[in-house]
Amino acid sequence: MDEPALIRSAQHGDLEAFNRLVLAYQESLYNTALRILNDTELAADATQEAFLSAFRGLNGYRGGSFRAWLLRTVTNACYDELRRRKRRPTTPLTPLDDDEEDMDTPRWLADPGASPEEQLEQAELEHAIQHCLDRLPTDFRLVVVLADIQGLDYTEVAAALRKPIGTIKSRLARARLRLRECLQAFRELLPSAFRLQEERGI
Amino acid sequence: MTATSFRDMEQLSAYLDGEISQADRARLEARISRDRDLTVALDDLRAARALLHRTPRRRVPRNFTLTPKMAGLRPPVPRLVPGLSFASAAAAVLLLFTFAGSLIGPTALGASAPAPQMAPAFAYGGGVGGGPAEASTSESLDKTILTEATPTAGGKVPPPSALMVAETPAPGVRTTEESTATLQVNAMEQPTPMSELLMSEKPLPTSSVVVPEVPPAERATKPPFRLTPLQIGLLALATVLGSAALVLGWRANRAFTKRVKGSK
Repeated sequence: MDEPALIRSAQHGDLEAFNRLVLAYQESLYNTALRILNDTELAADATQEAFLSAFRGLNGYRGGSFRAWLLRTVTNACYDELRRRKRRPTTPLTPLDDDEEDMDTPRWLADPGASPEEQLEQAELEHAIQHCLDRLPTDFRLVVVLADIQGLDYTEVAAALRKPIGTIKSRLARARLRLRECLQAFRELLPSAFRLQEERGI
Repeated sequence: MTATSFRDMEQLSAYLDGEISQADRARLEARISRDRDLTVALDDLRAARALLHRTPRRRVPRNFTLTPKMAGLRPPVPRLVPGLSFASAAAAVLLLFTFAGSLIGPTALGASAPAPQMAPAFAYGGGVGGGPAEASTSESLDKTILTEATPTAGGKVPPPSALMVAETPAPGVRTTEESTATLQVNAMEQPTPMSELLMSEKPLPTSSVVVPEVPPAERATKPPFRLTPLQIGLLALATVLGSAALVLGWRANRAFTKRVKGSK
């Protein structure tokens, strides 16, 4: 895919070219929205809104990381949704048991293509991470989602969030520390996920 | 945690991402090799980072591609369509003006033929309501009528008018209701009540003689609704131009839809 050519065509109103870009980036945008909002429906809405906004404002793209530029549109859509949610709180997607506590293993979140063991581990991991992400302040959550889940570098995160790199660096460190503390509670549930030996070396 | 230790953590976090300078990196690695706490902190951060990298990715529930409608793209409108639409609307407005003119026209001209015909009915049927509004429609006629109708409103015994003389040979003292009823009966049942007035003994004011001159047959008939040639022309123009604009717009829309579908 010749991304710059597609972007140029889309900037001239070629919807087909833009839709090819949508197909290339939709998973990234959707997963970003999902981790920020923790709601599949709202994440889908935010993703759609982000692409719509991106198409309308495509002439404002002046080069650089197109992915970061798109992720900025989706984080903006998520910010809007979070503001709306503050005004009228909605029921969280995470299922609750009779005592209104989060259920430990939301199996309905797992990928049906994986083996039962993998499904269980994936579901537990996803639940643990989402649980801890939800407890982060929004600004920290956005940074950690973009940097550690989407894999953007500091420059891209700074471009996506329109913040200085120093701010990104600081927020990311704080977010990682908080997540580390939060995830300690899931150590027993995530035995394989905490095998530090596998992650040794940079 | 002290400010200094957080700065160390910040450095360690950036170190994991390869986002520190070569000089800072060398200094930090030297400290890590000497300081056990820094090593543990680095391992903690690395574990958290590694875990986040393993966050399962969800498949998209649907494609988020945009349709032309969503993107706000509209089919190109043929150049003729706005002009045709405007001309059609203008013709329709003119047509409405002509209708309004034909409705307002007679009133604006003042007393016309139908007005005095209606006046007796107002006065006789609604004696109580006889007031300036009815009187203004045909002053000459209502002078006579109001002299009979107004006393009923005041509740006084009406003077023995010519009409009553004709109806009742020995006019005594009548109540208001009786006189009103009599007047209504005369108005409703007798097609030419004023002819009796002419035959009565008392002379009537000359103005009251005007009414019998209008033939009863003419009173019942209303002028038929007819479109003038101008109105017919405007109606046809508005219809033809509007239809042409619709057809052109529809054809352009259909061609655009086909083109969009074909490009998918």
